[in-house]
Amino acid sequence: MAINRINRDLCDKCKLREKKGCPTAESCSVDVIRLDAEGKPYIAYPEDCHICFLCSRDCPMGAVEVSGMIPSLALPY
Amino acid sequence: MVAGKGSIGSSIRVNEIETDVLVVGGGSTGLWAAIRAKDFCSRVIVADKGMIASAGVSTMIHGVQAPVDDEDMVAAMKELVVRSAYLADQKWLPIILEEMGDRFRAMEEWGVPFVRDADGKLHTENRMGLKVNRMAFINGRPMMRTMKEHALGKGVSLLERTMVTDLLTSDGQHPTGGRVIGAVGLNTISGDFSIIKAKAVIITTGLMGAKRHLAYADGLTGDGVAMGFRAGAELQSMELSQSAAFSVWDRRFSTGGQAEYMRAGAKVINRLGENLIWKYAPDKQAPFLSKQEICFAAVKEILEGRGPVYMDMTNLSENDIKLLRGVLPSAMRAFDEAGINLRDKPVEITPMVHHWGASSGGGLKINLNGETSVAGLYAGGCASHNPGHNVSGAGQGQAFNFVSGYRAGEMAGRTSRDIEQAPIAADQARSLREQTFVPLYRESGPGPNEIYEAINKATLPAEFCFFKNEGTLRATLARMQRLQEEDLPRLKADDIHQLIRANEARNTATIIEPICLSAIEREESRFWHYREEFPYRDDVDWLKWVVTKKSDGGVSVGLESLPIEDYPIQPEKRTRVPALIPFSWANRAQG
Ligand SMILES: Cc1cc2nc3c(=O)[nH]c(=O)nc-3n(C[C@H](O)[C@H](O)[C@H](O)COP(=O)(O)OP(=O)(O)OC[C@H]3O[C@@H](n4cnc5c(N)ncnc54)[C@H](O)[C@@H]3O)c2cc1C
Ligand code: SF4
Ligand code: SF4
Repeated sequence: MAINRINRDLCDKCKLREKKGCPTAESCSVDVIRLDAEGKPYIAYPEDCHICFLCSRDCPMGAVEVSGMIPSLALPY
Repeated sequence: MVAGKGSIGSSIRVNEIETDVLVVGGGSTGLWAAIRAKDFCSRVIVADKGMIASAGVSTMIHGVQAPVDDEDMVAAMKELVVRSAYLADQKWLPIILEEMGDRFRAMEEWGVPFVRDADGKLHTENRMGLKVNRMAFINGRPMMRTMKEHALGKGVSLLERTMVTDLLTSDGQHPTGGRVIGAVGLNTISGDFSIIKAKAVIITTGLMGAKRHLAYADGLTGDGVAMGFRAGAELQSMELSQSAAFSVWDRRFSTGGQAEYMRAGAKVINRLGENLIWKYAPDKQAPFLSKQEICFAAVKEILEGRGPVYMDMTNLSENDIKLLRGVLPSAMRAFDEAGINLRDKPVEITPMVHHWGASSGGGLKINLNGETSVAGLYAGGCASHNPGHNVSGAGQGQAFNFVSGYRAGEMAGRTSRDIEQAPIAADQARSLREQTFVPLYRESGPGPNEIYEAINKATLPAEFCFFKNEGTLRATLARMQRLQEEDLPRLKADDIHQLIRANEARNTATIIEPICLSAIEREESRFWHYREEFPYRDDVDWLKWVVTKKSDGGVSVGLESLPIEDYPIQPEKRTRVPALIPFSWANRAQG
């Protein structure tokens, strides 16, 4: 739900990360994604994802999986 | 974070920065403000919570009001004034319409890729039932990237991943009797604290949201409006700042496209299969309801026991769906992911209010130069009240952003040349640092997500969002005041990420109070503001704006009459117009 997974196998082989760095932490305005010591992205705060798809759009390898389903949505009526 | 060591926040690294103009928020408004301010002074900083061109709603937009030709200017203005039910500020509107063209053309020169037809002409369309005003098309992300590059090229400095938390004032007081002389904030990753001295501060922090995971706006939590309000600035039209949409589908996911589905022939029906447009449209020959009216009708049906409400696309052909896939790829992807075939059966829809102040209604009150009621403090875009009032949806939001940002930037830049930087009161910088960091030092208490849950429990129900009365508004106000008095002082954060959320929660909670008080004041029904006791638009007594302001120990509420007699466009007669979708809580279905 919301951000699901980042495929680390694809990140291992990612040329973009090697050349310019992974863009997905910068894509995320609500600080869900962080980069580890090797510059690989991980999901740090999944509960804050507001499903904007920018991270998945910015990853050219299709490694970031975002679902449109909203977790824990309390409808008022 | 090591809590309890030394005084609160004393172990945090502090950066002191000095600038002529500080812009808080790097959306399209903030970048226009910074770019223009730079024409008048040497040091301009834009601070943004996120990374500029990824954060904020300007990155998500698709429509911008197209430049209006001189010969259409009067008709364009009239059309917008009528759409605002005569509540629009007719001093602001001609300025927006006239200056918009220059802002638009400058952006094209910088390389902003507005959509053009094959023959090279700017592609424009009439949208939202407007006949004179037209909308041009743009992808917000490349627009913002180009603007960011232009700002950098012009020498504007960017302070990204920095959340500004409060304003510094010359007398060290909130509310201030003096002027704004800077701001404080913290880095959203490291927590480093910044004290930013500035001769002028421009607030462009966008709309006011409550982290509902809808409309990509969870990073926009009314920070600038709340910090301006705390510093003593007036707010205007807060009661008219909400808008809603059929945001939730099948009770589990959010997507857009309502207008496109209806254009393709979709129906909105209740549980009994009744078509809501046929049911409520006053003109049965040409049945039409606005998005606002359909949302109100749907909630009424649900509350009176005829829900759920559905979007019925079973009558669409395979070809219609194919065309929809072309124009709404993300929305269609959402239906695919949910395993929904739109031609199989109707899909349940739930109208929800996402946030407040997305280019309709309320925010910081500004004059024609972007000045707020506090000296040294300026505002523009969604963080300020929108003088168009209900005039949005076809790119008018962006038009106001560009023009108000430009004007605020010019005024702030010019003024900064004539004044000396006032000294910062050490006490205020220290107490604001403590206020910002204190949630990290608490051993127990509710976390920011719990506070947001409580805010949403109080502010999502129809009693607050759709069918208000004085009782429901006072009940919401009391809940929010209790939250401010009892829960916020116990708010706890485990790390810097949560500390940012904690400061955001404080801001969202702050703005609900003026929203409630303004809504209690407005004793009529207009746009998205419905009052059960006054189910009519009252053009006799209510061509007025509601203004709220922090005063010692409370909030004062005032009224400002529109100078309608001095305006060029006036209603033929001033009457009371019954609300199209009235509702009484006495008719709520039981169970
Ligand atoms: C989903 C959606 C689509 C829309 N589409 C359109 C459209 O197509 N056309 C149109 O005219 N209008 C549209 N609107 C209305 C829209 O909100 C405005 O037109 C506009 O983009 C807002 O611009 P802004 O500069 O005021 O704010 P934003 O672009 O939202 O920028 C605000 C910035 O302030 C930053 N910020 C916030 N708080 C702080 C803080 N405390 N410290 C530092 N920085 C902070 C944010 O990170 C953000 O970058 C849309 C609104 C929504 C919600
Ligand atoms: S998320 Fe995408 S861009 Fe980032 S490192 Fe992985 S594959 Fe590369
Ligand atoms: S979808 Fe948006 S909010 Fe969610 S992780 Fe990606 S960039 Fe962040």
